[in-house]
Order: sequence, then structure tokens, then C-alpha cells
Amino acid sequence: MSTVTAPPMEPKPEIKEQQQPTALISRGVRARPLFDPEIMRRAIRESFIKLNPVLVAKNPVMFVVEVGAALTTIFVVKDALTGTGAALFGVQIALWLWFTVVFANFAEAMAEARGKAQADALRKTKTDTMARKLLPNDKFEMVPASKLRAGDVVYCEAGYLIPGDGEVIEGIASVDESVITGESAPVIRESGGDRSAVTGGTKVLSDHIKIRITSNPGETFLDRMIALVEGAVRQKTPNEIALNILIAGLTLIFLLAVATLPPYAKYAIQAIGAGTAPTVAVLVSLLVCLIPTTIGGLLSAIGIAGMDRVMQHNVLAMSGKAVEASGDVNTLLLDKTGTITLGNRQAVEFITVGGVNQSELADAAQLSSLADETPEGRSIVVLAKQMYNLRGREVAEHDANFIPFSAYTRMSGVDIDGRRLRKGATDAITRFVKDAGGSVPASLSEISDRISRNGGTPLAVANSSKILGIVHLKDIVKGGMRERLASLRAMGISSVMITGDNPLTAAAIAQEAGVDDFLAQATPKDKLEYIRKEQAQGRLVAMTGDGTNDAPALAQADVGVAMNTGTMAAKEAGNMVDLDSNPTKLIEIFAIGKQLLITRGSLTTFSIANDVAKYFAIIPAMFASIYPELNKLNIMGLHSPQSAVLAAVIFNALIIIALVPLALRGVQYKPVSAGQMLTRNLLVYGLGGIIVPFPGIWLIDKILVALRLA
Amino acid sequence: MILGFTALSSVAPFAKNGYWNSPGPAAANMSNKGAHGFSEILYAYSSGAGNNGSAFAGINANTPWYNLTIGLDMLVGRFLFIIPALAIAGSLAGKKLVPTTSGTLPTNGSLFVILLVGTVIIVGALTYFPALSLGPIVEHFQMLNGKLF
Repeated sequence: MSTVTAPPMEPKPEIKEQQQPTALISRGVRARPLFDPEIMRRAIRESFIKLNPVLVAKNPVMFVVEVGAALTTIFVVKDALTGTGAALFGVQIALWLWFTVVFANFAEAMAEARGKAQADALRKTKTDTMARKLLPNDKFEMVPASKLRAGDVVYCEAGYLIPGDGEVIEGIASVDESVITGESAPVIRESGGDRSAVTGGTKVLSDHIKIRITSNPGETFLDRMIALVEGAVRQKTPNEIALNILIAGLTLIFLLAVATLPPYAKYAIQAIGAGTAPTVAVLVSLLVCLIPTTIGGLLSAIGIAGMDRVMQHNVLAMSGKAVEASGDVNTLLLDKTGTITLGNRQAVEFITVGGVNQSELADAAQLSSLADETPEGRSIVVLAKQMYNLRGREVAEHDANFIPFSAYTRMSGVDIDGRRLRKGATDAITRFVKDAGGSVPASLSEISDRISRNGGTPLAVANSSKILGIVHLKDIVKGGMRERLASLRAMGISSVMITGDNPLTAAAIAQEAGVDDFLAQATPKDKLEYIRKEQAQGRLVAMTGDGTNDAPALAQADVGVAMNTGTMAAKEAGNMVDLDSNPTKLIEIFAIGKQLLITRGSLTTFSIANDVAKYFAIIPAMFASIYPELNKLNIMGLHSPQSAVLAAVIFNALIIIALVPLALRGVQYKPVSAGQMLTRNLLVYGLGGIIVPFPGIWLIDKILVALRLA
Repeated sequence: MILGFTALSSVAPFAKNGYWNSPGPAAANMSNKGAHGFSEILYAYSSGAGNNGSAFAGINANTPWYNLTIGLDMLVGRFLFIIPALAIAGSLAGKKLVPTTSGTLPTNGSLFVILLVGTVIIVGALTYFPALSLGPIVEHFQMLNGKLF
């Protein structure tokens, strides 16, 4: 899985990044089982509550079905009282019509219940946490978490829940953030730097920290998350609204087609002088079978499930609209550092000058880096160890004096055993060597230029007056990045790398990673303008970012994904928050967005294609008493008019239930072109939709006859 | 529209020798009974809305009722439909141009043709199938059984 927790404190010395699987939508991230008993119970209860006509009226298709069911029920009761009509048939039709509505409600309730189950799990963590509030006199006071205000400082030690969102101001601890991220591996939180933010409800596993609370009760991240997951008021997305209009229009057309049938029948009966007019039950059955109940019943479930799937990838979508827009994105802006590259430059090569021995250079570089705690420094130590088996020595035995890096000298190093080892920018080291009376070989600047051109950073190493050579530091492109960008391209999304580097370096990295375009020396204004330019050309732009200077661009982008570790400004500006702060996950989000749209399209196609078979079941059954010739249309050889109508209605109801898993999971999505995707889906859901109901209805008819129900 | 008027005409009860329809009920204008008579009504309105406004010889459409309803049928079917068509055109014209990528639906291949034609046929067939089944389709089966009008 692509969820990457904050790495352990020591930066990974290995140069290879852990391979990210390229599977697009990996299931089971923290997916709940599809049919969890608890969720099922809740959904079944809900689906009956949702029979309330006021609630059903929001969905025109289902409303028509419910009205039809009520009408049929009334006529069945009337017939029963007057003792006319086929009671068994009427009761069954009425029952199955009600089931159709219940099944559709069930689909929606299932999707909602899954969200609610998650909200409940989150809410449990909120219950009365006691916090140890630090008083000015260095004493503790036990207060409930709900009484904490922004600015309070609390003390938290192993085994305790962190009472609220805040910032670590003292200490370091491993924290279990699984309630928020679903990832069970603990993460490190420490004061200062990028990893100081802690979230209320997470648990300290080791050590102890002091936290300054940054949010008031009711405004914490957890509170907002619960509100989102529960989705109390879910806004319909533009695509959903359009589809709703389409299926409402179809419903209207079929309503007309069915409403005109009784006059036709009346005419035919008069003309022929034989046969009976179709009953209300049969007419309602035909109507219900024709209107797109399948998609009508599953539409909202698909939307809710889409949000849920995004959630399972540990991304909080602020609206369904954002998820859907992500399915149409044409351009993706990716920050270079931490997204395309590992973020830290790493030593990859020792290049000597003037006949210096390689291991001498490596030795000097390693010694001068021993006290250097930056990732670059540590990578030099590691590389020297790997290549020349030089171990980090116990410097305390020697007379070592470490010179820290300063912005003024732009170099660091060590004075050890009479050697003066320095490493730093090429020009700084050149000056250092010349000051010490040494000379600089011409090849030095040559090598250093070559490294710069290839996107690397040269780091010169010297011993007093002697230049030893250059360490090649390189921005390492993350493993699997090329493949992921290639799959984006297959989806029709072009990637743009944003970096503060100079154009030369940017071009080299862009080529290595395989991005389509890059924006070098980017200022916040540049980013904003780039997005505007793309949007003016009619493209939908997505962007990831974490810094405050990204906020304007995040707000301007159609899909702005902020990293959870990022600043508050970035999180407010974006319309999604990635809890794992792993920007490459955007690819999965795009896939979900596309999948959402494709699922709706496929089920609509399926729903309408289904009608063909239902006509062949119901029309002959309806009019065979008038024109026996029409029985030739009964190509499925259904037993009797009643069994035919009943079978069609039952099939219509059962198909909703059968498609619930598909609606919740989404249709299969592969990063191929729209044309290929459409061909495949048309074959499966279009042609399949025409063919499947024939054996389905035939089978139900046979079962009905066997059970003597018709 | 077609279906609505056909339905009305199938059952409209007019008094014999009245102003609206002198032969009596609207259904009495046909010289052919049964399914063929129904086809005659259906065709008259279909042709009014979508074709040249002709009618079968078997139906006497020259009565105030038929003249008026077929006329209305023509008006709506031919002219009022211009309004939604213009609305669609306007909405299309107002849309932003979207650049072609591999994520765009190609509109120049056989796939698009099949999709478009398929949609038109299925939606159209679904709408008219019940009415047709009572007219021409029944007639077809009757003809196979040797019954002609």
C-alpha cells in the first residue's frame, strides 16, 4: 500500500526508496468488509425508516415506484373486499413493489451506515479524556479535555490519549495515530520542525511530551472529520444532478407511454370484442419495470460510497464535488521535493581530482560529516561506509574539533589529528584552499559544472591546502515514480513538476522522473498564474501542497490536496486533506473520481438496457387476452401472463440488491484511454444489460411456477 | 404527443353527427377495425409530427377533431421542438473548449456511431414499443396467420 507513515527518526540510509506498488486502486486499505453484520442490521432498519414518502420524494424515480406500490396496495385491498380479481397475484405484485423501494433504500442506507460506523469509531475516542494541564507553577491539574482552550499547555505520557490538537513544545514521543489514519505503525512526534503537530484522540505510546493546545473544543480536526464522515447534509454533485434530470426525464416518458396504454387497450377491446383491459397492478408493474429503478435506487449509494472509498485511502474530501472533479482532471501540479524526489539530497559518488586516492577522499568526507546531522551529511557517512567499508569512528578518542556549518563560510568540517578537513560549496572550498596557500586544479570547476547540469549538487572536500575531490549529491527520484506518472498519462492527465530549483536542475530531474512539464524557480505567483493559464485553456487542474505559500494556488486549483503535515493555511485552502501526506496518492483519488463517473454511467446503461427484456415479458402478457397473436413476442416462453409480470417485477427488484456491491465498490477501473474504457463498459453493461434479464426472468418464472405462486 | 393524441382518439367519445367528429366516436373514422385501425390513428399522428402529415386511406381524418389535433401535433412536433434544440445549442456554445487528451471520448470512430445510434434506437424503441405492439406488430403476426385488412 502506498500509505507512508512518517519514517523512523533516523533517515533511511539506503538510497533506494521502498517500492510503491503501482496498483491503482488497492482494496482493503482499511476497507470494512462489504457485509459487516453490524452495518447490515443498521442498514436494514434504516431502509424501512426511509420509506417515509417525504424522504423518498427526494428521488423522483423511487417516488414513482412508491406511489405505484401504494396504488397497487389500495386496489388489492379493494379487490379483496369486493372479492374480485386474482388476490394472490395482486398481493405479490404489491409486495415486490414495496420491496423495490426498500431495496433501493437499503443500498443508500448501506453506504451511509458505513460512513456512520466510521464516525462512531472516531467519536469513541472523544469520550472524556482527562488532560494534565500544566500550571504556571510547574504543577499539574487534571482537567477534562473538553475544558481545554487554545494556548493551554498539557503534559502527556505513554499510555495516555492526547487531549486535543496541538503542537509539541518539548520532548519526543511515538504516537499511535491509527484512529485518524488507520495506519497501525506508530509515528514520531517531536518538538520543533515539521513533525510537531499532534491530533487529539491519538495515543502516546512511549516517552512523554508537552503539548500546546491549538484548537478550542468543537473545532478540532476530529470534530470536523466526524461531521464530514457522517455527511449529514450531503450536497449533490453536478454530475449527479444531471443524471437525476436524465432519469427523471426518462421516468416521465415512460409514465406517458404507460398512461396511454389503457385507452389503446380499450379501443382494441372494442374493436375485437374480446379480452380484458390490463389491471392497475399490471400497468404499475410495467411502469416500475421500465423506469430506471436500478440506477435511481443506487445513485446516492454510489456517491456516498465514492466519498467512503476516498476516506479509505486516508484522504478527507471536503465535498463530493471535489472527488468528482478529480475524475476529470487534465493537469496535475506536483511539488518536486518530497513528491517526485525523496526530498533529501543524497551522496551517490566520490569524484577525486589531482590524483587523490578515492578512499582518501571518502575518508575525509566521512570524517568531516560525522558531526553533520543533516540528511546530506549522514548520506555521505553511509556512502563511505558502503563503498570503502569505512566505519564511523569513535571521534572522542581523537583530538577532534568540529566546525559547524555557517551561512557565512558555507562549509563545515573537522580539525582532527592535525588535519583540517572541510566540505562545502565549490567556491567556498576554493577560497579556503587558496587562503591556506594551496592551488585548485582546473578539473574541479569542470566536474562541479557537469554535476550541476545533471541536476545534482557538487560538494567540494579539502584537507587544508589540498583539494581532495567532489562529493556528488543527488536528488533521488522516488522509486516507481516513472511508472506512476506513466499511468497518469494513460488516464489523460499530464503532470507538471513545480520546483524552486534553477531551470537546468529542474529539467534534468523532470526528465529522470518523466514528468510532462516543469515550472522552475517557481514563486507562489508563478504557480497561481500557471494554474490560471491552464484553466483558461479549459483544463481542470489539481495540485498538491503543504506550505502557506501554496495556499493561493491550492485555492485556485479545481482539486487542491493539502498534506496533513502542512500548515493550517494550506489545509483550509485545499478541498481535500491527505492524512498520510503522501502526494502520489492523488493518482488513486483520480482513479476513484473517474471510477465514480464510470460506475454511474455503466449502471444507467445497464438499467435502460434491461428494459428490452422486460418488454418482451410484460407486453405479451398484458395484451395476449386481446390479441392472442402477441404471444409470439413471449420469446422466453413464460408460463402465464401473471407469472410473466411477476417475474419481471421480481427481477427488477432483485437486480438492485445484486448490484449493491458493485455500486459500493465501483466498477473496475484501469488507466486506459476513454475510448477503450467505453468499449469495454458498453460491452459489459450495455450488451450485458440487454442479455442478462432474459435468462433471469425466465428462471424466476420457472421458480414461481414451481412454487405455485403464479 | 403522438402517443397522447392516439390515446385520445382511440377512446374519445363524440356523439354521432356532432360538430367535432360527424362519424361519431373518434375511433369510428376508420374503415378498418382492430389492430389496423389502431395503426391508422398512430400513423396519422406520427406522420403529422415527424413526416409529411399524411394518413392512411382507411382513416377519415377530415373532421374538425382530427384536423385540429393533427394540426396541433404538427405545431408541437415540428416547431415547438426548436426551442429545446436551440437551448441545447446555446448551452453547447457557452461551454468551454476542452483540449483533447487520451481521457477524452473520441467522437470520430465507429464506437461513437454505435453508441449514438444505439441510444437513439433503444430509447426510441422503449417509448413506442407498447403502442406499436398493439398496432403494426400485432398486424404482422395476424398477417402471418393469414389475416389481412
